[in-house]
Amino acid sequence: MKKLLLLTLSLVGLAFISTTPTYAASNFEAGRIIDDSVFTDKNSMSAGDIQAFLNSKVTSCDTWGTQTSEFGGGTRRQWGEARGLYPPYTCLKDYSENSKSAAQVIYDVAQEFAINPQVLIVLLQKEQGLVTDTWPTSTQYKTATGYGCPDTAPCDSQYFGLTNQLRWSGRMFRAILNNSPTWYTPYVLGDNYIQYSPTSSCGGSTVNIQNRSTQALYNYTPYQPNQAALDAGWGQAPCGAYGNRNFYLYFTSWFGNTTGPSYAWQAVSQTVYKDNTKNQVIGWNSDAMPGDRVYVKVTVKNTGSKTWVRDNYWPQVQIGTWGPQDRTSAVCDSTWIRCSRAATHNEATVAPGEIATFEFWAKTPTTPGTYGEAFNLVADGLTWMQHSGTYIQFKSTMPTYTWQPQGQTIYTDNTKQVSLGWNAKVTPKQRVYAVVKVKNTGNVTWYKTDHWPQVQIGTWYPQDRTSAVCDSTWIRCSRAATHNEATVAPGEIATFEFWMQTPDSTGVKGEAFNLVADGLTWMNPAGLYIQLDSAKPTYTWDFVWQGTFSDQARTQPIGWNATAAAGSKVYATVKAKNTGNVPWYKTDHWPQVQIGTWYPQDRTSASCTADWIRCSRAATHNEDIVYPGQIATFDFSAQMPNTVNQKNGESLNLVADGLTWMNPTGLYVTFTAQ
Amino acid sequence: MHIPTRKSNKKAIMIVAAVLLLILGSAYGAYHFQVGPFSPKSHNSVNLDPASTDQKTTGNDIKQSTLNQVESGKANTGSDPSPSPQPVEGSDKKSVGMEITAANQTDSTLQVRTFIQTITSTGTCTIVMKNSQGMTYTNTVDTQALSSTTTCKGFDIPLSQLSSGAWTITINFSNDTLVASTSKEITIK
Repeated sequence: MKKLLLLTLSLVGLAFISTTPTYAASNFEAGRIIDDSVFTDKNSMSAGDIQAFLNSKVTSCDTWGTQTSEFGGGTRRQWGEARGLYPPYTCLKDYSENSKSAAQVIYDVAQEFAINPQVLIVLLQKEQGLVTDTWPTSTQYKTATGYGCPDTAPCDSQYFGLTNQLRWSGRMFRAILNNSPTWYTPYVLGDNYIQYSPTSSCGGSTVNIQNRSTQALYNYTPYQPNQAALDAGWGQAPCGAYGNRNFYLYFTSWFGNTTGPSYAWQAVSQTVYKDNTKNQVIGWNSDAMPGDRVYVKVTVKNTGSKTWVRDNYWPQVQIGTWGPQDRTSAVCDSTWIRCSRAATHNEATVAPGEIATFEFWAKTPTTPGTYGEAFNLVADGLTWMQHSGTYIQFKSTMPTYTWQPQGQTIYTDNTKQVSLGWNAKVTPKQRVYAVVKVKNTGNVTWYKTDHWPQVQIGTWYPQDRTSAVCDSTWIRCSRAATHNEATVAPGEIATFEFWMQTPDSTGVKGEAFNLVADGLTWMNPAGLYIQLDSAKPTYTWDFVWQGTFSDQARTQPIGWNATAAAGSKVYATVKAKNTGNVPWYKTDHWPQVQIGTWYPQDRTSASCTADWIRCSRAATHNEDIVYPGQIATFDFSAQMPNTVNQKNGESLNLVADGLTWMNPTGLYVTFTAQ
Repeated sequence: MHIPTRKSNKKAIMIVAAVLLLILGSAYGAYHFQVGPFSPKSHNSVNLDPASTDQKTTGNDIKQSTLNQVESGKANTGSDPSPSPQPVEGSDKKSVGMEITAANQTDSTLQVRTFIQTITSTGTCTIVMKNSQGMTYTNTVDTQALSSTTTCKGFDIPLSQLSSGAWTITINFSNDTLVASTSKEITIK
């Protein structure tokens, strides 16, 4: 028994030892040299960190080349000068260009192109050995990252020098990371044939490039190490290529693993919408009514190395409750996977570097209050990811329905042309048109249709009483109307318009109104009161003007005492002000106001023409409606006497025909024949 | 007196084995998905030790290689430099290496990618594809200089222009001073 236990434990130990990664070339993966999350970690080091790192790698510089050259040929200075390379030989840690230290240049380029500065440091080392070199020459700085100058380019100004070289490298890396359509690359994501060496006869193999960063490295140095080069560690081997191997070796030796976590994410955006149409944003911190559902959209970037697969795959990546993890959410909706898992991503697959979208309903609790909900991503059943800070606040507030008056007007009708003022003077059974404007001062949007409750203007003091001015167009005789607008959000203005029918009696009628969320609650009484002063109809007028013309167009005045050819027709106009309390209607209303013969009334006029209504009624007014206070115009023709020097005097008055004669004002016209 | 039986021994062995297998399985799963104790070591663990002998030696080798390349007049320097252009018999142009690096079929296109072992932004690449039925596809594009090589600005060939079966791809590059050529057999599915 003990032997068996020992044997099994040994097997477990061996399994652990054999599977634990070590940082050597043997772990080099040709298709995944470095992960995107590591390659693009631009904030891995500050300029100070970079300087400290460069300082650590070179303890003492041989600036003047006094030591023996490792390449033979005497001192380093002698070796260099024999090749035109003169001191000082400035170490990278001490090097500056355009008054900027090498460390600062590295940092700035890293920030400019969002590349990990460690990648740039390794690039300088693997291409020119600059980081560890105690006596670097000007040639090494000139082509510091080994970025070649094309045959037709201005090399010195655009390509050569530490800054130019680093910027070209950063530019190329970023273009490939962004899959720029204008930057053509020899390698693609997926299968590629990659040579083992610049010498094509050394052969190569198909490599499945798994991420953009590895693609970028192969675009920089288009060869993979063969097995012999990998087995050689830092050394060399037949048909070996070393650029990408050395990148891997230097990076892992100096900065750790080139691969990031399998499952990781970075927040991109979060939005709370009113509903799943996603048309109306209600902000980061949702403010909703108790029990309301809101729609949450969270987008994140997959910064891990594994592709997230939505369907029929384990583990599925989901957005779950956090702080503490797996807790039951206060805003759980029936559409959730479960009350600790809101949703999985919309996309079928989300590869490293791609954006995932999580959308889910959240139901605000029925108890008013503020509910903070932290979320995190989980590879469900395997591991929670590192929390990246998604926190949504759901505010559940009791609905309040309140309002504030903004104005009220009574019009003669729904054309809203003639206002009757606050204390409207009306006559019994007259219909007038009320317009009431109010401000929504509550926290609930009012909806005209399809939502409950509808906000209406209703009778008040006492509430729900039957109104004395109820019109057939009302919702019912305790509800005059709802608002015109489709929606009235808090802070917006609502307009209520409705007819009122004055009773068949005289006197002042006061009507108190209030707003009601019908079926739910009455709102705050804000003093809406409409007064109708109903009096018996009076028909009176004031004389304004009169004139007589020889032509129908009324351009040739012939004075008050008109003189014209015997038997001819002349044209008169009388203007009169309605001083009564009743509008005069030209048509469709009874009684019609007409200008008629007076002294005696209804006599047959000697000046009557065929244009007259009849020979005791010259005409009605031109205007369709003449409201109290407005001016009416009466145009009519007159027949001159047939005998020269004969004079016809016509006394006239206004009559509400069939009802009453109005006050005589002394209107008198003479027509004298010549 | 307690007398152990064969049956109880066997049961205990099975329980221990099951537990150990569970541990082993969990450990393998954690390693496969690189979670738990197998989470990758943070890449922010900066090593501030002086450079090792290997690191310095490798750096010196690169330095020496670079300076030799410059001395011999090579245009590109750094790691894994391209071979020098070779004379072409009967021509004043020189030949450089060229490789078809990818010929991958997507839903709608055939992606063909190349690299040329020189750094130039001049010249053109011409692709000629032929199949046994005598069908031919040709296209000519410009070139783009990269850090140590050059690539053709293409090719994404619509599959609608290619029938299923075996095809031969030949790509020729030339500019004022250099030529290159490469070919590859592929099968369109």
